[in-house]
Amino acid sequence: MGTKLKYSVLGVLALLFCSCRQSLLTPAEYVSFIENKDNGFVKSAVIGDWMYKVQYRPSTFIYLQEAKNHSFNKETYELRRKQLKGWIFFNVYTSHTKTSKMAPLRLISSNLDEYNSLLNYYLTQNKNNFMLYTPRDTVYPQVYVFENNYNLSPEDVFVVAFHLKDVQHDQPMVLAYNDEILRAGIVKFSFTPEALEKEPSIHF
Amino acid sequence: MNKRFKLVLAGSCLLCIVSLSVSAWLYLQFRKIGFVDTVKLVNEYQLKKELEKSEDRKLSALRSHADSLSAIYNVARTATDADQHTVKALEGQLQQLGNIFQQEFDRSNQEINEKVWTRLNADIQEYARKEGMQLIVGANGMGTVLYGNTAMDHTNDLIQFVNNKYQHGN
Repeated sequence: MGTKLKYSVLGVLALLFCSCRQSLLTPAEYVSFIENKDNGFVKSAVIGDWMYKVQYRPSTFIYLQEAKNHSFNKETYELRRKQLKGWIFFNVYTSHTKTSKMAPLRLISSNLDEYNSLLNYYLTQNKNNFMLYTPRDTVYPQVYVFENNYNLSPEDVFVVAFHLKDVQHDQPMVLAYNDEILRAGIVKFSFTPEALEKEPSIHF
Repeated sequence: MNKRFKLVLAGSCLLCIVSLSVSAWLYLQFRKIGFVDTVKLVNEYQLKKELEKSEDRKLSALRSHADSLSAIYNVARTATDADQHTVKALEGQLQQLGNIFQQEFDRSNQEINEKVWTRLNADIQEYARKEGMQLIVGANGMGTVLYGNTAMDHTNDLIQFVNNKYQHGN
């Protein structure tokens, strides 16, 4: 009876240990997990004719994207994670819901002058239209890049990064984008702690 | 006598059940039609409040410029040895700035309205689908709905729905 009880307790403890432990994935599986919209790291919204998609990019995801040639190893991984500590990165994609051939910037420009003027706005002034809300902070991005695709891609991409004193995945984050160009108003993307805490680990 | 009483009782019960069912059906049918106070809906929409705040920051720069110019104009106008050409020039500048401010104010109001309604139209459709409604009438204080039973008023529910959708994102 005593042995049975011991085994039962051990079994329950093992089960608890397994359920609490973060899952270990291969780099390819990890990337697929983060890019899967059902896992809470990708959010999207349709406002009028425009589609907005936001990809939250944890440091591991950034490292794996940078080390595309599978040249990743534990040392460079730890180093990159250390460099990215305190940073929250997002990629924001905008596209038209009906036309899949042109990027929004090209679609709304009626001539070259207008295109250049809007491009200049995207390159230099659009930064202040992004904000990140956490229960502790409300911050503007410290890094902002508009990826000029020269109309070779049907979507425009903004890379924004915020620096926080302390990044905690047990609290919600809301990314707000006040789109002055496509006139959609303020669009909010909420990332819940339930989803963020499920970020898997990778094994090499 | 006893049998007759039982029959009457059963008949009454049946009648009660039928009338209750009809009432419930009618109530559910009426629930499929509702009205919304559009003025209240727009004014309490969080997106509108935040857009107004954002636009106000931009307009305040113009406003403070106009205030400074107005102060200079008032000093120049009341000065005894004022140069009339300068006063006229300042008056012209002030008027021009006033026009620019008004244009910017109108433009920002129009933009806010467009953005708010683009978002609200989609959200109202989603709300109606979710609630199984067939018609939502906009009561806008201009005489469209003269009277509506409070049971058919969806204003507060819709405000809560659109604000929740806006605040918690997508």
